[in-house]
Amino acid sequence: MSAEFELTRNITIGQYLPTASVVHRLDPRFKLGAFVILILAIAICDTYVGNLFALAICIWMFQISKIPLHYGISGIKPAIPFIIILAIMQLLFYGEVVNGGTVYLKYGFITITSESVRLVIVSAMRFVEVIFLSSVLTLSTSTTELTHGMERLLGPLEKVKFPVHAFALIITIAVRFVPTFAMEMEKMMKAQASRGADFGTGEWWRIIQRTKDMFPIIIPLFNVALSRAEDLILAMEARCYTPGAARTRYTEYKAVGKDYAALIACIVISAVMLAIPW
Amino acid sequence: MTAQPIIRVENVSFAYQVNQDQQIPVLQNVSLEVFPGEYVAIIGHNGSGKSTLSKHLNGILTPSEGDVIVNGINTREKQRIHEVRSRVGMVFQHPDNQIVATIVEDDVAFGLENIGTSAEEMKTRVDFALEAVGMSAFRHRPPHHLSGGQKQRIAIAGILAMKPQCLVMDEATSMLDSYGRRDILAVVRKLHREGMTIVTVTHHMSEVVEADRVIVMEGGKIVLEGTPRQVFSHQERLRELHLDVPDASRIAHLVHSGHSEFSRDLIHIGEVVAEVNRVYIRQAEASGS
Repeated sequence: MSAEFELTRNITIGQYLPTASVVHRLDPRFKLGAFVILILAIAICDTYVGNLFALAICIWMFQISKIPLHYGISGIKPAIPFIIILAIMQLLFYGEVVNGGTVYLKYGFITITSESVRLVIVSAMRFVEVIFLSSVLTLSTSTTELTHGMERLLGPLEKVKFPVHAFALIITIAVRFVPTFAMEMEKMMKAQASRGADFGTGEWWRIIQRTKDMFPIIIPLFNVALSRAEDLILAMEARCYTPGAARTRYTEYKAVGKDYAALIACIVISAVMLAIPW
Repeated sequence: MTAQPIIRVENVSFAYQVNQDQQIPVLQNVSLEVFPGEYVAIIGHNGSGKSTLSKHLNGILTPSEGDVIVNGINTREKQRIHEVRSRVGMVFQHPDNQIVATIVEDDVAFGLENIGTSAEEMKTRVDFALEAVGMSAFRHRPPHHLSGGQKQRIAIAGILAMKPQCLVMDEATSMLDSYGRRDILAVVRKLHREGMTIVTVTHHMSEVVEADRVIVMEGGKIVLEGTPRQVFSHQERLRELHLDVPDASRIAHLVHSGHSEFSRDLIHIGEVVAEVNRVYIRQAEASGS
């Protein structure tokens, strides 16, 4: 019973794994940029060999960032049902849509061609690659660095009046308060349970019942969140925060050789991936 | 106390607007001055307006009537509110609700980022502020792993980094355990010794005795004012206002009612001990000779 209420213990925000590798020490702006480029290349690349190459690169990235591969694999596990459902759908319905290739099977509306088989396999590989890559990114970069990096990369959007800083601040505050609310929720669950409330004992398929069980937690939690928000606003105002005003930045990033090298390496990898014709 | 007051509160009244034709008056004609280097404690029971008053000191609330002048700047001047707020820093009650960033040093720098301090200057000020509250070792930690007292020290550091002249503590110790409170008081004492002006709103009498001046609020008005010794000599009055007095003061009063030679103007435990010795020795001498 006790483990049921231990919410704070199970929280990993982001999932930073400090192994102090060269990947960890990269400038977050460059890391994010390289990440976006690789993801785009993976999304475009639709050849077997290209994707095998990408997969190899992803695994190699685990190696150089000194992160055990099982972190990536455990990230795939929850995605397996989606991958399978997607594969079945594509296999059944995509034969007609993708042109070309030899027809393996034609039965009613189901057409399976070599092209649709390729699409199925490539999509599954893409899924795995994307999960691996984002795992490497989040395992090697703290949430703070990620928000900083994102804020800097989006910086130019400020010219078109996009509130980049406010956006970054929202993310920071959200991340900052996750453990606080987890603790709050833990307290409330204990308080409600001690007065006889039931959590999670209903059968799992009785979704409505289980949702209703959560109301005695959710409503006070909202209440607390609002009063905390009010306090936070006061504290921020007392420290001279003005929405939309120009600010300076405490953390400054200076790109060095290895950051450029990493970015260029990722561009080259992407180019190779797309150039492979099979 | 010499020179100009840092904060001048002139005939301030304040009312919360409930709806168009109903308002709740919280402060009525309050005037006070805070001078550089002073340590002022504001006490009063719930709803006496003490917290509302403290929120006027750096322009978080602006008075319905009257003025608050901080270093010659009226807190009504919206364009200069940053000047006011970087001079008068404020620490609030709840340690968790004041921390904005996910890393301690980022949070300390938050106020500096807001007032546009340059990056190098920020580094030195963050170092200085964390050092001043004794939290340098925690600078790269996420705040949720810290204790309440440590979080409150971070909140103070965030204010100190802005180099204020005055620190206002709005019941800043009321959510802390006794260790946390002791740490915070030690930090505040040190800052005061180094010349910082302190205004503390509290209902812990042990904090009040450290102040130079005590202001007692009731029903939105200042009803008593003076040194801790003067204020705690009005025991009857304080009891009427549902306020505690320090244990030492109560003991002194009790003993005084039986032995009139025992002084009742005592507020520290050490003074009570000394007084007992004095009276006891005198009696021993009298009976011995």
